[in-house]
Amino acid sequence: MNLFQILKQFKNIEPDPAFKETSRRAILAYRPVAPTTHLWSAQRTLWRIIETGAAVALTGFFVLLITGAFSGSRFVPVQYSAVDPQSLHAEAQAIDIQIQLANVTYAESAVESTVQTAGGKLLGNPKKASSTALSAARGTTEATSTITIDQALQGLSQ
Amino acid sequence: MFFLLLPPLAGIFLGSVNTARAADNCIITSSDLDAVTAAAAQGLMAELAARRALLTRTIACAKAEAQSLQNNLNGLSVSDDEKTIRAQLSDRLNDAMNYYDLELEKVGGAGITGTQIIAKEVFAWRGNNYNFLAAQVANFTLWVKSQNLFETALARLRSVESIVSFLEQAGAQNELRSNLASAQVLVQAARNKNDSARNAFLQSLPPDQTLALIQQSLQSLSDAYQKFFDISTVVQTLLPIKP
Amino acid sequence: MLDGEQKLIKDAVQGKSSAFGPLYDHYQPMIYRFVFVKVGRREDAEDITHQVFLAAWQNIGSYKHRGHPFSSWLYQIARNQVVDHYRAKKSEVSLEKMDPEYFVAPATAHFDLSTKLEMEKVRVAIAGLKPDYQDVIVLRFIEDLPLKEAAHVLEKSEGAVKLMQHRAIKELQRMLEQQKN
Repeated sequence: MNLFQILKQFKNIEPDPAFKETSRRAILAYRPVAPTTHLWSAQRTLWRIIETGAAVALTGFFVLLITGAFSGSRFVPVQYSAVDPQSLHAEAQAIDIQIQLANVTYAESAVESTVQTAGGKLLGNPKKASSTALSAARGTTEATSTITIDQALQGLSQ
Repeated sequence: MFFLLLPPLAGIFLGSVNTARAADNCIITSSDLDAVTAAAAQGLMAELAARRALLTRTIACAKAEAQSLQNNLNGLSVSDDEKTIRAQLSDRLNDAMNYYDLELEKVGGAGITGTQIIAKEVFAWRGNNYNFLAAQVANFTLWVKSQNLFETALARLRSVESIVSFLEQAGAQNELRSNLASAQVLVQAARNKNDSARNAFLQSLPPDQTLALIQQSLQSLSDAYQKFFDISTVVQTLLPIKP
Repeated sequence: MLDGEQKLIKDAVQGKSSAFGPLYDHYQPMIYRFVFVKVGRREDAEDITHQVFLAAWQNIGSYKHRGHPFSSWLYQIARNQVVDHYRAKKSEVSLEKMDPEYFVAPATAHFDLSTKLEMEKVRVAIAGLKPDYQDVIVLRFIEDLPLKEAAHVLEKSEGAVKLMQHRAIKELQRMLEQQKN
């Protein structure tokens, strides 16, 4: 047999049927499961809650809810900071910034090259100049003299 | 408001990646290419010398870019699980730098056509290999730097659960409970997607898929915070005394 | 391509295991062959193939059809998994080594002995090639993938794949000649 005939024989290789069946069953039985909570993460979370509580107590942010329906005490401390709009806003903003960075990362990977000034400021790519997200992230366009590695390679290939 | 913060923050984040994209002192200009064209007018030997010089500098810059990416990657603060992912990406960057070294070795002995072929091959290789790798490194950096958001959101959820439980005992509305239930589902979904993104790195899935998972996890977190705001609005109307 | 594949993929993306099952049945043998030729050991090939399909099923929610066959995505995962397998095990492929299990493995039971011997020589030689050459030989000469699909799997241009397959075959022939001598 010549080499090509031998190579064609490899197409007749089949996996062990028992393995195939076991593997198939195991894979299709997979269901997304709740992530395991790592002890260190739970401890840190707990510590943060305690720290938050201590901070609230120290700065005097307790809110007393006076209600006759609550048995045992007429006065109950409630951690208002749990729903404090300012801290919520700060945390939400951090997430939104990360989302925008993720969108810019997407735009970066979609774009073939970036254009920079000698000062290193990011500019819009002329090929994707219509992308508003890209423009918003990258500021105004300017005339440039610097080219990218890929542009240099393209130029040198001609 | 956050868009005002975005350019400098984007600069800080992307700077860590785009500093990698044009490493220190590695600036190539259009006039460098013009110089090659100008050298051609002086004769073949001049053109060859100019092409070799610029190609050598360009490939060296490409290698420096990969090195810089690797340095940034190795500077990230990661858990033990994530060290495996980082090592995988770092190894691939080593492979890229080795490739550049091999190509650099060819330049010295290449003629004009040879330098054109090398440039074309390196360009194609970058398009087919390196750019995917660089995208995945960027994704990993983004993912690592997002992890504290999940911890914060979980802590926030626990705090909100406490206050909602307390207010319900005092006779508060069902609206609080339904918003809380939605927030719980969204935070869980965010954590699931975040774990899926980690698995996507471990399983070496294409970068666009990894990025999609990261985006989805962050969006779920953002949606959860909208529920927290809704709960906050209701609580503020219920509580008679505010700080 | 499987009949009704597009519908199966669409359903699988939505999490229907009844749709992923037929996809698994259709593509598992070719992924297994691809991995087996590269790693040589049946156990390792089974482990890696299982990981490939587990990864595909776990992440199919984010799969997007972009004009390339579903198999291309599976091959890409398989390529990466093999690379990671070698990195994890830091194993060296011995050109002298013949896996005795190969001769009794159910997968090759139907070959006659001389064919098995020839195939094993070729497989060992393929394992000694650089990964890109291994891939192009399996995809183009064993699985008969069209040039366009092979190029997508290998993340190279069609021209580069044509050149690579020519070089890969030459190198393989050279190694087999060396083995003979």
